[in-house]
Amino acid sequence: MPDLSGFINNVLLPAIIYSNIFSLASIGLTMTYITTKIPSFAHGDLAAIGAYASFYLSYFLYGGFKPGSIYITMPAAALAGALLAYLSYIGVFRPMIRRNASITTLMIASFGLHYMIFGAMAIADGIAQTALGVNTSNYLMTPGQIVIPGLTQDEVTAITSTIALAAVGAALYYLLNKTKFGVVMRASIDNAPLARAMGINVERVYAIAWLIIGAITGIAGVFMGLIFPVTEELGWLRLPLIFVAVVVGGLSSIYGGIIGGYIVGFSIVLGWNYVLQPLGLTPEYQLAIPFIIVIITLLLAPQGVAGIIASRRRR
Amino acid sequence: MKLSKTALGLIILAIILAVLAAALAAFPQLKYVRVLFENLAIFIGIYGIYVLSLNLEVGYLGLPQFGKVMFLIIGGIAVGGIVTKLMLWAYQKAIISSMGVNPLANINSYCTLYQYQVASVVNAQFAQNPAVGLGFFVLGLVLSMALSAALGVLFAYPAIKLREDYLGILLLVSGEFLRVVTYYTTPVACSVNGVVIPDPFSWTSSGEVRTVIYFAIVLALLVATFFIFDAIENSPFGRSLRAIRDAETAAAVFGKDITSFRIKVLAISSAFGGLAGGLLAFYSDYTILGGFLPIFTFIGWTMLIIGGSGNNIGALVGVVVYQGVSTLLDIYKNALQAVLHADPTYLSYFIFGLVIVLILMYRPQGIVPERPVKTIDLKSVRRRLEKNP
Repeated sequence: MPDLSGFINNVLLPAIIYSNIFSLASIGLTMTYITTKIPSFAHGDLAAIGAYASFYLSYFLYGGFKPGSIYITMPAAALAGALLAYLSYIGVFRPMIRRNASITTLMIASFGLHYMIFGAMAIADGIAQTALGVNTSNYLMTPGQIVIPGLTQDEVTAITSTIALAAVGAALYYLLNKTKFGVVMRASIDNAPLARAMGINVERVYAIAWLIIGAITGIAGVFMGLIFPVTEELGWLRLPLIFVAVVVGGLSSIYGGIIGGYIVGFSIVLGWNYVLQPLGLTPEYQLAIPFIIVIITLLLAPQGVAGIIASRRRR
Repeated sequence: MKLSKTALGLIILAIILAVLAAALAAFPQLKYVRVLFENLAIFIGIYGIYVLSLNLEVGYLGLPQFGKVMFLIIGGIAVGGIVTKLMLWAYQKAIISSMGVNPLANINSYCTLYQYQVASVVNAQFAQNPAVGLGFFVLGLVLSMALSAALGVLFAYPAIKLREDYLGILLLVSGEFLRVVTYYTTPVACSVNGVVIPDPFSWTSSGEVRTVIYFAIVLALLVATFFIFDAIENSPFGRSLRAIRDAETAAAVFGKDITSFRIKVLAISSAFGGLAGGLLAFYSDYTILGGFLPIFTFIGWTMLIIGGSGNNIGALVGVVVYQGVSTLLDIYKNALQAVLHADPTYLSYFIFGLVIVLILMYRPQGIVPERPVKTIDLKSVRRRLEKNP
């Protein structure tokens, strides 16, 4: 194996990092979908607000990124994402769902919400930039990564993002399957009218679900900031891929988001290294690969990979 | 005297346009303002066609067309990428004799080096042969419409039978896919350089005359589009669309084939979306495909929702309001920048996002609410029956 280290550095590590980031972001989007039935276009902004929270807190704590600071600020990123998600549910989506808005109407409302958050973040950032006199846009958060002697930055990122994804997955599994709240939440997802009849306050359950969604996506945003420059477009630019991951994984299962995230992450990195680069094409064509995958999924198995697994198991 | 609401709406629009025209005539010295108004009028016309076609999909069928921008892209490809190359081929001899190079021999150097010179050679040819220029214009628009109709159905096809959310996601991703792939493929439309489109109206004596002619053409096409869509929407076909939108299962039970309705609506609407795209490309004489971000889809939706979806007059009112307000924001851009210390473009994003959310929450019917379908009233049906029992 002459080129093993090249394979690890150029293919395996980026694929794992991308996959973890898209998985974290997709878990949140799948949850918005299975709870409140909104494929939300404002989802990417939850990631962007997380990245911004991490940057600004690092700035005020240390005057910039110090090794490891993104992990110290991560609770703030989760909190910022959670608050924004909660406010969007309470302020916009809940009143509309109460009036029986259709999915299309909710989608367009989320589009409007995206532009509100997007514009507000850009304006606030512009004002802060003038006030603080520092460049706050287009930076990478890599200086905030922890340093482990003997490991490259990519290796550290791959390890920490995997740990984060595993922790989030495990916490969600515990919450949904081992706690009373999990039972209530699964009941509200599976059959909201029946849950309501049993005396469950479904709207409160959804509000808590939105808090969780925002927290996970805020953390995803911090990891995104390690490989993509942080701007108000950080999450929005990745949203088509997050949607692809969610559809491929299966809109019906939280863990489908993880499967879809891995399919998207590996397919774009493998496709870039073994298809596009040998053909002499620019990396922008990467978008074509998940697009082809989503078309195949919709044509052959619109329920997604998680749906296929579930129906196999039932047999 | 009782006026129908359609007529009333058209009269109000005509009054607005007349006031604008009168304001122009009264202050001819305000050249800057005049250019602004001319642009505004033409953009209202082009976006009018765009939003009317969106209204058939969204307002009537409830089809989540989140990839509408792709028809502006297809218009750019048809006009800038295909028909322009046809002209380069047709005028090969003239171009070679005046510049010594064949643009089609090496697309890359044509794109980066001498697009503007070649366009001026072609424009000189059009100046002598206005008929060829007009042929170029018509061919560009027809090709935009045909390509859009075909691709609109093709891109939606994988999810055409699925639920609206899958279809909406697929259309959004398709729009981005088409933008990225055609933008980075240089032979399509010169990638980052953008494609220069010869002016089919180069035979006109001045820029003013060109603008007036272009406005007349856009207005005529807008009126034609309005009546075509009005006829479609008030036919039995249009009533079926509303039935499907309001109660899909019930409509299916009554034998309406929802997939076939979706395909027909996508084909018609996409064709007119492509017409708007072609007109936009011709008007600017230049297009850069990478610029067609999903925001253009959202702009169309914003206009439709402000005006009132499911209603053609509403759609047009929405276009006028949106274009008017965004032009005002453009004018006060610099003043705002000084106050905000931030790019005011984002302020307009914020405002329109807020407006969308507020309208959906508090006035989902928009400025002009949806009206019942125009059917023959009972009296005239009775009269007819009495005449021929």
